[in-house]
Amino acid sequence: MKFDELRDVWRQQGESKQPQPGDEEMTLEQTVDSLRQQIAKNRSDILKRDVIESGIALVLMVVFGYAIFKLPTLMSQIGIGIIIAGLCVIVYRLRLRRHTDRSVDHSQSIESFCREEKRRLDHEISLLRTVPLWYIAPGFLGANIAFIGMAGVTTFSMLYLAGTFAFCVWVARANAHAASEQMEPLREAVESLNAELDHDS
Amino acid sequence: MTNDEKQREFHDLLAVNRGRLWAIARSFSDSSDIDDLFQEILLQLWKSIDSFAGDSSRETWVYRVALNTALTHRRQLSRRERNLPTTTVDTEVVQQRHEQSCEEQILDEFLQGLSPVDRALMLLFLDDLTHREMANVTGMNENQVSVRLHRIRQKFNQQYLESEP
Repeated sequence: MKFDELRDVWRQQGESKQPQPGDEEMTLEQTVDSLRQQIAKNRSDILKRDVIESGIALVLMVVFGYAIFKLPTLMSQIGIGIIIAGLCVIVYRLRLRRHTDRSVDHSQSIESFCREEKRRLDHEISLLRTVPLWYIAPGFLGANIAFIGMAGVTTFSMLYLAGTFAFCVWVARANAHAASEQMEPLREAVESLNAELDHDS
Repeated sequence: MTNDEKQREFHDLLAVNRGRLWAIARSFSDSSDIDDLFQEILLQLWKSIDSFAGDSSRETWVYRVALNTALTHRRQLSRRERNLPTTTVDTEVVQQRHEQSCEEQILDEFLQGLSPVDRALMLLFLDDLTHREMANVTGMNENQVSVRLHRIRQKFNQQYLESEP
């Protein structure tokens, strides 16, 4: 068989192997309808997640905001203030991330898409690697300052400090692991695709 | 674009390109997840339909969306495969091979042996796109497309022609 004859084989194969879900071929109307349902479900899932996430953050902000006025010492008030600011940063960064996720345009050329995809993955990796800064640090600092502000420097507050520190280290490591095990291989694959596209230039 | 217009547009698009999209899904996935990739391609087409500005042909635009989705799917699949044992035999693949003609097997085998970019280019070649259209889909220039296609042709000849008696 010659190289150019592959086109005929491809055409024959295309005619004989159309999508056949189950035994009956799905009609165009059914396909469009099932797709619309899938999109509606995806949208509702995203909306639900957004509402839950923002709702929890809002409730925490209200509770902590109320606590600021009730706490006896300035130090504990500062601690709670840091937690509230940290919550705002978390909600903002997670929303920003979702927006970046959605904005990758699939109708670009493969080369532009790879560039964009690499930018998105870089952003995702940096987000995971900087979790100790934007996700953990404000909560850890705020909670401990507030706790020491209320209880003073006692054995219990030191135990609380050690416990929260160990928890934060665990969260940071889990995120760093996710970045290197899940995101880095994807980024490498995009880079190698990019390199392949540039190979002859 | 209203929702009804979008739906009509999508319907027309699918009527013309369904077989082509299925073929792309088949070339870039395992037999067990062709449906998943096909659905993902349709989903991305639906999402991208507003972005079609008419500066390229509808066919080229469809290819861009489908191939970008397929290449992303392939990457994610490779990542998952790295974490899975590969000792099981895919009975669907065995069955499929049994039903295929010798030429179809050669084509499938050759496509699977190509790198993702070459495979994408090969699919465009098989669908009779011009070099200019291929360049438009991939982002390479026409010269690069020619060089790559020449190498793919050479590879095929080495693998399947030189071994013939």
